[in-house]
Amino acid sequence: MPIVVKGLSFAYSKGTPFEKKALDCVDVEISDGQFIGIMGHTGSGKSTFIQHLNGLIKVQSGEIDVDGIHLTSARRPKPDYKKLRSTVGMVFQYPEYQLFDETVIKDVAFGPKNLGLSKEEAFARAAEALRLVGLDPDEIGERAPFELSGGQKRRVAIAGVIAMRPKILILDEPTAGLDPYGKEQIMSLICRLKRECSPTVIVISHDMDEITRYADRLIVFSEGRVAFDMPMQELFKHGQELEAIGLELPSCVSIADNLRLKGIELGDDIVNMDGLAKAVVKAARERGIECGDIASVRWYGEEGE
Amino acid sequence: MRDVAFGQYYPVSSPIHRLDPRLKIVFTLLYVVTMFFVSSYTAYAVILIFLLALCGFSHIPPSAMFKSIKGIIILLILTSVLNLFFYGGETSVVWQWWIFKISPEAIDSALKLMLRLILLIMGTTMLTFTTGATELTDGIESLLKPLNLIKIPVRDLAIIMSIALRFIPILIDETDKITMAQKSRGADFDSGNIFKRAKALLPVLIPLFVGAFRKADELADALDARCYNASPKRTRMKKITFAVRDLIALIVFAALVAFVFLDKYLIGGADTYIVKLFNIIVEFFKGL
Amino acid sequence: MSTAIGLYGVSFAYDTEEEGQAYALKDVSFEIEKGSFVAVVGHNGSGKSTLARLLNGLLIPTVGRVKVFGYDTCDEDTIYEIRRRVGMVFQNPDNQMVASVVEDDIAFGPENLGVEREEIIRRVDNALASVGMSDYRKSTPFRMSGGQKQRIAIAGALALCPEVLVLDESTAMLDPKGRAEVMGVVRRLNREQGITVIHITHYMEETLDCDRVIVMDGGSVALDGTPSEVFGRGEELKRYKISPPYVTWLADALARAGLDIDRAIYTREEMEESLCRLLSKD
Repeated sequence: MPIVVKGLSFAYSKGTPFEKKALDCVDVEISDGQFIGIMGHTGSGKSTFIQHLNGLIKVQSGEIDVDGIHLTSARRPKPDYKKLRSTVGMVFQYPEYQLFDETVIKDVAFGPKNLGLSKEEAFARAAEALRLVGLDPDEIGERAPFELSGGQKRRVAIAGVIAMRPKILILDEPTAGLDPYGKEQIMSLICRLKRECSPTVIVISHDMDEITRYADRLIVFSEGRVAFDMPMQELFKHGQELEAIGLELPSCVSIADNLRLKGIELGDDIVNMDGLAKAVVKAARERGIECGDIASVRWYGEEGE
Repeated sequence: MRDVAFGQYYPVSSPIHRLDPRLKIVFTLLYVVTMFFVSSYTAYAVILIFLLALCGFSHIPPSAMFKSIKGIIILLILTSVLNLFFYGGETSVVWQWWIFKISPEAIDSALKLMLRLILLIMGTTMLTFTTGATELTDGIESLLKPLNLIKIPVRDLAIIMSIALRFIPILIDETDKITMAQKSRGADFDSGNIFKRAKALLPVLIPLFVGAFRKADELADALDARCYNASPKRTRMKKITFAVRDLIALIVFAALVAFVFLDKYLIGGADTYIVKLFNIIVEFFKGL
Repeated sequence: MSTAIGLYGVSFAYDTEEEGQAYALKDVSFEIEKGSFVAVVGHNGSGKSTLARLLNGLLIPTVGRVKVFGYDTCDEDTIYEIRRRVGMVFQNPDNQMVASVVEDDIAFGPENLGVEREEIIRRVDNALASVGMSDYRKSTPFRMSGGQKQRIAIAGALALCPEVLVLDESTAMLDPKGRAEVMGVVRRLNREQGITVIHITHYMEETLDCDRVIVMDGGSVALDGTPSEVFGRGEELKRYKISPPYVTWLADALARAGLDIDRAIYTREEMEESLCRLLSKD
């Protein structure tokens, strides 16, 4: 079942002199199996938006439908929050700072236990989730989360959400603060989680070049509204408007645009590095230059994940 | 509104906001003491008028000042009722039932106690309404300066206060974030008995404390990098200056305090005179 | 050109619970020229942050010497001579501010040094102007963007009138806009005020117009040279888990497919030129 958001508006400190509008009549539909990238500068409303999808913020006006769970401003009927939170998994920024239990396995089992599973079941799920994020539960399960390295901690935190088996996984800047190698690993991990457990993935990102490599749709927020929600090929024709709200075009798109100005047409459907590389190979062959194929542009090769 | 730690600051510009914070702190302390010497309804009325005038000069709606009582309303009712029924002094009882009795003296005492508490809260609130957290710490630091002589590190205390003020909103924000994160993992903070609820808070408190220690660690490096403790004679950029408006404020406040004490010890309560005056006027009109 | 900071055979070990001593830095030696803009890159755990803290005596080398304008960081009597000359900006903007009002925070450094009041006010004015935040003098940093907070932190360091500015992953927690703001300010300080900058980062994009890039790996200097020298060493960079800008990824992929593209390209302009040259041939 998809996510349907209709006319969602929200203001912080509503009814006080400090009232601040965060969302203004947002309409969004997300179908199953999509990889959504959400962009927008700080204060554009994107965080407020995703917190609504998890029921962390009460709807003030408008309505939300997530996998059949209906959220409105009405007090009754009370939505089934337990079900909602096991449907929508939410990984916050710097999630490693939210680890708290004495051992890794207990921490990861926290979510499943809250869902009402027995201790055995919860631990089994935790072990499974740890394996999914590429950690060996037998090796680190009994260790204290605080002794792990930064990258491991972040994986444990993600496992804590995965253990609830969400159909929709939302991550708020999952690569923030990591080095490029760590970023690459976390992004490949997210792709694998999408394949293996959570078919719908929503990622907030600030890095155009990074997100376009993975997402199949971008939603751009600005001033509490959805500024852009269209296929990426269309979106990147609005370079100036994007710049006006503080977003740059991906470097591959601006390279293709600049080449077009110099009379070299690589096609107007380039949205990421892979697309650009393939277009260059195609153009070279058209000009009689021999070259091999490029499957995807990667730096670390396959050992990244 | 978390930009101000005490959540009370009323961010407008006014002559009262610009008053020397030291003066405002001293005034507030004196005000609290003075309140215990107020003996007549006239004096209470004068103080109320003073507070309303203060609201006017500081561009704060009087309703905001009255709202400050909301927090103590239960205490207020409780103490007044107790005072009303269990007044200990000599009484001319007018109503009695079991151990409860009411007398004019009890009514008078309860009423005055209530007025005293209300005015006390409203008056002290005006300090936090008109003085920012930083100004308050600056003022306190400046007032405590003499303690340097007996080797109390006033400047260090001031920096600790300043850092605490700076980190309160950050930690509140952090608490919000962690609470949300744990809620999204199905944590339930709202049900169960008190022990269950306390236990439910651990997933929030532990990361919060770990985070606070990490912050403290990094902050220590930042302080060192900026030469904390480099020189025994530290200087201050901010100099609190005493302006003409401070002098005027001083005179007005002194007059108020003087009135309260004169009223109590010389006049012996202006109420009787006012009642007499009232009677004379009534007689005068009757005579017509 | 004279030397601002020199490291001579520096090792740094810290105690661990299990294995006794572990080395975060091993036998590092290099000198940093006055007025230069040096980037230090390396993956997490490569020893970059330890290095940063050795540069102003927050850490003291286990073996070897760190000299800052001739002062040894081991010497406790002159440690403030060093810290005054080496301003430092940290990673988390929230964890390095002491006051709730911008100007009070910036004044903190000179106050500690016992600078006269008028001079402090002048320094605060200058520092705020240098980072383009003069309008925020009386504001509180709490609701500012990350980029603005880091500029305030830079101003706090500038108020010490430093000759060297060390940025310890100061852009790691910022969004692209904030990073651009901070980098713009730092470049201007280097160019216009001649402040030596040591910028520790894992964003290779930020090292493109540096005078020199030092690559750290496993606590030692792995590579040391101009950006083009360093970016040309693709395979080695991979080994050190360092990622050049996406343009270099693309150049690397195209070159491997057999196209005539220089693998060491690291700017967009160069890439456009090479592609133009490649695809104009009929």
